[in-house]
Amino acid sequence: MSAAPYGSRRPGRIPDPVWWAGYLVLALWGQEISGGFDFLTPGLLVCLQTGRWWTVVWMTVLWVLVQEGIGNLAFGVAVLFYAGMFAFFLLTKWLLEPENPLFILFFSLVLSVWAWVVLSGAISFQEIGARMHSPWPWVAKQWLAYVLFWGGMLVAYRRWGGHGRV
Amino acid sequence: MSPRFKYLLLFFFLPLFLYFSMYTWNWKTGYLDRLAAMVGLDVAGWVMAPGRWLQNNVDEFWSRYVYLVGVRQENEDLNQRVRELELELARVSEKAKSADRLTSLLRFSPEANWETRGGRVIGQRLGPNAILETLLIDLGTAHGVRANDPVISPRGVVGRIAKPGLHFSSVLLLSDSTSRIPVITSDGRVPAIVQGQGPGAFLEVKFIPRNDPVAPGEILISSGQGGVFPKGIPVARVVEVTPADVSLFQKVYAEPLLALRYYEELLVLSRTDGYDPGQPMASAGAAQPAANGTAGQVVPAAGSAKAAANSTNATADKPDQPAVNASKPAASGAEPSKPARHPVRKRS
Repeated sequence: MSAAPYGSRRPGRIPDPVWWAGYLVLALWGQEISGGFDFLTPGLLVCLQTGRWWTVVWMTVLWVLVQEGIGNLAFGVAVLFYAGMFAFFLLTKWLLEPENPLFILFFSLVLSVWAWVVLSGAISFQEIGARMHSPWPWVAKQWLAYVLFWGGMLVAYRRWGGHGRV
Repeated sequence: MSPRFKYLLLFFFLPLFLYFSMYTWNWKTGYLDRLAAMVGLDVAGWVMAPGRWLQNNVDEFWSRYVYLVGVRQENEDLNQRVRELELELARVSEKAKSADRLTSLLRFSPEANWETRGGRVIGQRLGPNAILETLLIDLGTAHGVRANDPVISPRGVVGRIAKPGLHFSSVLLLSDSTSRIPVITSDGRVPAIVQGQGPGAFLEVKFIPRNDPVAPGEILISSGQGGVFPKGIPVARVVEVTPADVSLFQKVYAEPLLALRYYEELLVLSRTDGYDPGQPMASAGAAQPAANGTAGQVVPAAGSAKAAANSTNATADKPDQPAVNASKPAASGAEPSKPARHPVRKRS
């Protein structure tokens, strides 16, 4: 059976807005329960993998506002993080096929390290007297969160998502 | 211009320039911070609120109708406690009346009135950028809540509003390392500053001179100086006092009176006289305090308005610049400045 082309919704599947609204609820609860690890980004990565650029655009704007709004740092940290993520994604795409599990593993690690660098850089740059987490345990936990949530979302999106193949 | 240089310019330097332009513009104006607070806190709040409501109802159902072990004993204990409190109330109310009479006789200026609003905690550390000890509550500017409004529970101070959204706000907890509250000891009336040390750590009580009396078990209450917290709210209990050897100040540690992260309902206090400790007085020479010592904004003196507008909570760090400076009136002719928009940023 051939896969449906990009951009076309397969009958009986969840429409995109409903899907991503549900994703937002799940991700925010994930962030709350995990004590502040990032669960919103994997949704963006799924969109990048599938090449849904308009979804990427509005979702990036919304995710930036949400992450900055619920955070305690001056505006700009999430912007820098997502800009770096897009750059890394385009670079890594040259080396590995985005649907490859190795890509998810490797890219999640890069992204976890990048998140820590951006966050600790912002804390020292903005001179906030907060202690940053020690790097490697934090990076390891964030990596695990990215891999599991990204992998899980990818599988779920393949089965129940509103559009064609991933 | 070589093509390589063009690409470098286009894909690296141009975005970098745009990013720093946006960052600097927002640093000066705070527009993006406010937009993010309005959107982000509201989105997160509306997402979390139904789940939290469901969780609270399930908990309530379980504890009220299913898990009733020890309820009878607890009821008897509470009845006994109510009787004790009634006796104490009768005794204290007489004292309160005489204090009011004496106050009016001595013509003290009346204390500010505070309005109380009850709010529910619906979230805690919600994201990677939430690096401070904060809570999300379901009260925002639509309910009259403003930045720096005190947040308390019946047992004592919880923190203050760090970032108000439209319907939800972020509360900076007392235990956060950027939080500072001016206090006095309940018995010795010694002024000090309580500073958070992070989750699970004791609070540090700063600037208690080496010869001043303070003992473990003593309660620290808010001094009311700085204009953020009303006077007399319990803040912490002293747990450790180490006499000074060479320092001018004793090393004193205290613990919060409540488990800050386990509260579901909180009270937000707002001044009814409209005074905002983060705003300079409109009229020069007004008899309101000019500085704020509780990690809020520092109202600038003339000539340093711009620098002070973005500064917060730094004065408490410096013994030579006392944070508790409520007696100092606003400098005459001081340039009215915008309030510091980021209440936890340290002064550079």
